[in-house]
Amino acid sequence: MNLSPPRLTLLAILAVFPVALPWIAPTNATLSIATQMLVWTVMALSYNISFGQTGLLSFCHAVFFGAGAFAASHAVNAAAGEGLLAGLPLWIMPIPAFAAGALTAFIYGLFLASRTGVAFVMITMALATLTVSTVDNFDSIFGGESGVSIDRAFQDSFLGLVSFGPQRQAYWLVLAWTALAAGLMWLLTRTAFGQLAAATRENEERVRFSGQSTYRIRLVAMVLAGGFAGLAGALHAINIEQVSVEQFSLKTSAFAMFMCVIGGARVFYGPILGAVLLSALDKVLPGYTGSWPMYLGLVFCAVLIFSPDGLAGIGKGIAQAFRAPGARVQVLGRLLGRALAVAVLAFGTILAVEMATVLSSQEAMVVRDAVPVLGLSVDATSPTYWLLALALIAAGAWGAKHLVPPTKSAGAEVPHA
Amino acid sequence: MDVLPFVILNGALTGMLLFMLAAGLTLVYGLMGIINFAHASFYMLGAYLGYQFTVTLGFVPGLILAPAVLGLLGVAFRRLILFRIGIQDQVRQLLITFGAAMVVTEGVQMIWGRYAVAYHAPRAMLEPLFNLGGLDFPIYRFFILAVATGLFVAIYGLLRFSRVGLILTAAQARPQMVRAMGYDLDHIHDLVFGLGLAVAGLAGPMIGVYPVMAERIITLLFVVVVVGGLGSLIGALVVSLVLGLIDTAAVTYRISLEPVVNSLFGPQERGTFLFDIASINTTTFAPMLPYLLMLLVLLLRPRGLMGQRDL
Repeated sequence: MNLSPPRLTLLAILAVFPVALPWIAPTNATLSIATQMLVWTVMALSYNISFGQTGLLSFCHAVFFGAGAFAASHAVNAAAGEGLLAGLPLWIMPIPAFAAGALTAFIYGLFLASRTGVAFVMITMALATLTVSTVDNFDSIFGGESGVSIDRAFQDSFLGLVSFGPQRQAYWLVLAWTALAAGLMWLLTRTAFGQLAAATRENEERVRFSGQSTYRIRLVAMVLAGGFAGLAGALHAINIEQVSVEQFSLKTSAFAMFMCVIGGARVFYGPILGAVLLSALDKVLPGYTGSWPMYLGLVFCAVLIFSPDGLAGIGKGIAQAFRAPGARVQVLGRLLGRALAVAVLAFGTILAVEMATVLSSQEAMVVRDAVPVLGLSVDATSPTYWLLALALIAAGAWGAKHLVPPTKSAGAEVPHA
Repeated sequence: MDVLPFVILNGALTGMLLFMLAAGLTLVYGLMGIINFAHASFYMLGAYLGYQFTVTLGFVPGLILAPAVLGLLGVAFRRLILFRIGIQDQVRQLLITFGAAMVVTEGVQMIWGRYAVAYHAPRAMLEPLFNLGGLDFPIYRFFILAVATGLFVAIYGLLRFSRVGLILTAAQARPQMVRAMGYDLDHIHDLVFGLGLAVAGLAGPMIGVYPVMAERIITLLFVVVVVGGLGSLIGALVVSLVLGLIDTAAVTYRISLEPVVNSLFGPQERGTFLFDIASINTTTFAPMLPYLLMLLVLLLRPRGLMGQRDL
């Protein structure tokens, strides 16, 4: 890795900024969102151990997250009570959670590791659905609809200096664990095992021919992914102080998958990018629009079609374009043109979606002729605005298509037997 | 025990409706290798379209128009979206249909709201056809059974005995060769994709039109496809019927673990582990059974009941 001065500066800022955030953050709510970002960073990175690195698309990753979250919660409650575990400090709770996640992943992995591709996806779906139904039945362990709650400030740690009660202290705890987990996961990609996992993704047969058991590689990858997912679950429990069965659902897995795809699964920092962006939007956007899942779906599809390597891929492309010999002005012009086209397309889409939402709303008090869209007030009942939205979408799509070099069309099929 | 005929009839009905949804999914997978996560969302769109057409135009036009529109939308989806991804990377293809499922579901909720809508068959069709042990069996249910059976016969006949079926079968093994012989495979596949969605669209409003209908059913559809065997119409039919019967029987004959636990350990307090065990019964267990079945099939017989090749 080349450490040129600009890179070093960037890394230094990235290292200092999160630590200093609690002094900058205006409110506790902001800090809570930041903590959530960290939790999802670990979750998305752990998802990417199986998805991006080993090439396994899993819908039961949330089960490991849930296992960790509940293990940590029960451990905290046991530590706060009287018994064998009484007096254990809060800050070590991610360790039992890691173990719980890894153990669950090991058990599930025994079923899963022999399969790849679509069969793997189907088995994870079956396992996730089964787990959710089972867990739903055992209120004594998982607390039913209300879930299990904890009190993270159950005792003082570090010579009584910290109680982890204030959001700021919880944030630092989560940050420390996130940094550790992310560092370990980054190291993992550098190990021989990490390389083997990537090789299994690219060409399983060749790995087998070189004398490696791909079953074992996938199993180990799943166990590690499950462990870090469990750790993320513990951090979630510490942040929210409440965990529920919802954590196991297919949707949680899908959200982590969205982060990896949108951020870029082929680059280590891709999932971090996706996690920070999506978890923030997930908290903030529902306050402004009722159609957040719609936008998420649209962006996800657009990324898959136009930029398979996600935001990280786009960033890399831009950096490469600038490094390439040739006129920088031209490169900049093309980039700006594209950005403008995408912005126009996005604005048209937002306009159409917001107007449609308001128009179809069944609540009587909704004002249909003054829809707030990005600070503007538009009339959803007037055809003018609809034509404008369609024109913007068409113009943006045209611009994006003609300002981007055409990708190789891949319509024709190849026998898939 | 004169509810048994009723259980069988209702089970068959649920099963046939499930089959109508799964038929398109299994054909599209078997013949084109497309795993369409958006299938159930399109079915949901078809249900709402069916509701809309029925309200504005009447029962029969709704029955015809909704599947037709849905079929065309399906072809557009294949041409505009799926073609961009290509078929080589199955996981990426699966992801794009997953995203499309989200967009379509959200779109439907955006247009028709997040509430269930009331879809009614004409009053004449709700009259009882016959009476079984004190329970009425409406004409409408018989009508659905007849439509589904007719569809199965038609699709099976089309694939088995027609020229299109022959070409499709050949294209499964040697697509290049079939193309070289001058057949426009893309158009034939459009037809299959569109028809698969049209059939699902026909089933659309028959079960009930509500906002979470797509996510409720999509995993169950994959169970039918996987357990029945990829691309196997008969396999899908058998599994659908079995699942329908299990579902109906489990609700009708409610068997609980409570007597067993209570006789062993005495009555249990709410909130204890044994109480949770005791509260397990066939109604809570039945929805899990399909997934257990799928798990077993995937582990022991990956080609499914009647499939030709492994998943």
